[in-house]
Amino acid sequence: MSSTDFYSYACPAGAPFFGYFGAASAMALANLGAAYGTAKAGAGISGMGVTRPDLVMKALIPVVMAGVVGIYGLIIAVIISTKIRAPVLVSGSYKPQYTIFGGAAHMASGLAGGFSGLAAGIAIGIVGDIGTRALGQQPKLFVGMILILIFAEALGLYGLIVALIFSASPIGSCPE
Amino acid sequence: MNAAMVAENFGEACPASAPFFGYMGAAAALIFANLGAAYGTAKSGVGICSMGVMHPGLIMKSIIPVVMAGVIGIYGFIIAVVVGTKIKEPVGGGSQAVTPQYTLFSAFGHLGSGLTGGLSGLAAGMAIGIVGDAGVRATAQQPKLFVGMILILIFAEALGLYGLIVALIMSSSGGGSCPSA
Repeated sequence: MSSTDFYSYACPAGAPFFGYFGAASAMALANLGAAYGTAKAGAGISGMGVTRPDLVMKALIPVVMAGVVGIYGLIIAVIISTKIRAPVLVSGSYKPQYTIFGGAAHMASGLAGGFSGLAAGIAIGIVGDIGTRALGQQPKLFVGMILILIFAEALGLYGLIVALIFSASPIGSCPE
Repeated sequence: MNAAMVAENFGEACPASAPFFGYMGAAAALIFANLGAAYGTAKSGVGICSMGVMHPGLIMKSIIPVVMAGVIGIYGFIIAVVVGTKIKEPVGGGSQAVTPQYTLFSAFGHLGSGLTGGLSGLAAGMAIGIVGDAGVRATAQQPKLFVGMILILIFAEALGLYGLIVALIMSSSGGGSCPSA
């Protein structure tokens, strides 16, 4: 370990671990939720589509909403990972550019957005599954099902907003 | 720790790791409240869709449990934003001494605040889901049950409100300021 590097308590070498963990968990968890939503709703649409093929296109809406949850995770992950700066090499010594405060803030940002996406995706999947199957028997259910799906999608949106707020907080600068 | 020339004023009262606890509290508030809200939305949504096949006229009245579950998510959102904006980054850096702005006392207060609000939201959301599911199915067969179901849902929502109130109280307890060199 070089003794001329400029790491400090405010900017340890391990700080980017937390930042990237946040970015990765945002993407991974939101995608898990989106995958569950797509799969479960897809099973419902397939079951309904056997007897009512004309309603299949309308019934695809839960799948689209689950996909949007995945996009929320993508946005958070990209925004976080572009804020994590690598140490610069200055005449043989490394000067860190990323504070531990940033690591904490970005990890919380990613976890909040990711788990919210997971929750939203699971809710969209369960409601989409039962909703599309019931839609096949009672077309008047369409507006009600869409309303419930919008409330489920809003949970993922809360996570996106909080994640953007946390990732935009100033993280300070490293001592030299 | 190595070749850094400027002083750092971290200490026992304001360690560099304090923001972890604060931000984990803020994240936990949103995460658990959203999980509760998702459970409530999904479970009562299943009841509404099942009931709506035979009683499509009652669907709009039955969306109330879903709305109340969504409010639980908003409680978690409020706590997360209130706590997250109280966490201040250290000042200085570059050629100036680094001085923290966030005490460990405040950090633990914010961690407790977030866990309180979040887990209360989880509890409230689960209750709203189970009551909403059974309630809308039963209201379809006996319309006189509607007022009773709403009363029970209000009591379940109140649990999330208790969590929000306690979380806001815990997050506003002053943590003092950090000593500077």
